[in-house]
Amino acid sequence: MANRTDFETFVATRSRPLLKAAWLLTGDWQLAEDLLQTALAKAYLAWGRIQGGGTEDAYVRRVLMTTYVTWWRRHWRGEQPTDLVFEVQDLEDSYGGVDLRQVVMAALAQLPRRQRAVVVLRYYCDLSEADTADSLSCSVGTVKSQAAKGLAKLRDSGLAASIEEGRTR
Amino acid sequence: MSKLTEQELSAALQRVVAEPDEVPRRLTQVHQRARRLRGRRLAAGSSVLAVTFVMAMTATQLIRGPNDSAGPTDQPNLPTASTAPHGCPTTNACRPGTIPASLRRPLTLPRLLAGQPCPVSGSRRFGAGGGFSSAFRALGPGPFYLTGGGTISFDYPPTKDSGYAGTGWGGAKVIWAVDPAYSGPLLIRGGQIDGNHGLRFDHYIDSIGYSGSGPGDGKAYRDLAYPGASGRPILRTYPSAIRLRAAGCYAMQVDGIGFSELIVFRARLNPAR
Repeated sequence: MANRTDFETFVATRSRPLLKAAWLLTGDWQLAEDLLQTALAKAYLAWGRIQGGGTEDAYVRRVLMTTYVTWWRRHWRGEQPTDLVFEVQDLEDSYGGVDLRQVVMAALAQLPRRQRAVVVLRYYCDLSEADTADSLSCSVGTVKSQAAKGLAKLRDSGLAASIEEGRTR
Repeated sequence: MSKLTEQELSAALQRVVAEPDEVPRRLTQVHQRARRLRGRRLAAGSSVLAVTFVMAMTATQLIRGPNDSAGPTDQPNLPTASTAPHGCPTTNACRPGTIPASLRRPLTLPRLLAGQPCPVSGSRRFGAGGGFSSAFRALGPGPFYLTGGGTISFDYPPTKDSGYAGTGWGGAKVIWAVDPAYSGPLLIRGGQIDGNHGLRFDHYIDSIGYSGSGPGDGKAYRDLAYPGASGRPILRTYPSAIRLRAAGCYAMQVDGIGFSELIVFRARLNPAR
């Protein structure tokens, strides 16, 4: 039986970074929550087996990635607005953020799911090739080739030009 | 081809991900979903046992387990295929890459008499979202908005180092926002209402006619159109650019399915450098 308190602590402390990775995979906060919720539910069922070994994070990440790779429905772009209102900050900075976000998400959307997962794990989660391979249940060689292909596609997408343009505009 | 280093990609990914305000409630209550998942697994397991038993008893019959018609057991809560884009009365009206002919209504911009003040549209505040890391103000009656405070500043003639140099138009970067309540297609046109100067637009990311990579083709277009979005209602934001040649009061007519709105803004020349 899962230790519910430990699990709740894990959810409270680790959900945000996992949710952000899920958003990079899906491009949509609702879908990201769906994805992470599914991964956490599966982890909860296995919690008695995985807790305490320091591998909880890796386990949930692995379930998250494999669930994402096997989802068959199309993903959606955009994010859910919030009711919270903050003080208006420098609009120019916000403009740059919106622009870059659109460019990055459009570029990521061109990648096949496994490549996108590799790119997110390697370049956002900053995992090693070995850890990335473990998360995706594949070989290190596959991670290397998928990362190289993903990076090449992102270069072709004009992402670098947009980043450069954002610096100079 | 531009280089994109691993460090640049990593920095870009870190920058575009907004920090969730809090752990969503549905994640903190994931136990309920886990229980349903376990229930389905048990049911699926029972079905296998039952089917095995029945098959052993009646080997000549093809028996389906009671859960076979339920589909994959671990499918997440994704939107169903029947999720209809709000504001799109027919599937055809929101076909990707097309703008319904019905949106090409006559362009009817108001005219200001000499000396009349520019009736800049009212604005509303949006919470952080759609790529904005904090709350932002946007102009217009909705559902389409021009973000910002209602005054566009630009250089004319454009400076030599800007992306507008050589196009014959000055320009200013803008962000459009579309209320989640409307997910249909959009057509945007406009002009000066206290003079006779034109208003043009860039075809940039997500717009119909965008070349699909980089900053676009740099041309100034009379019309700007966006296709309808499918899926769940979300706040849509589009980076774009307005092209101008003169300061003054301008209006945009935005046509969508079931509405036509007017957004009035002021354009101001940057001081000569």
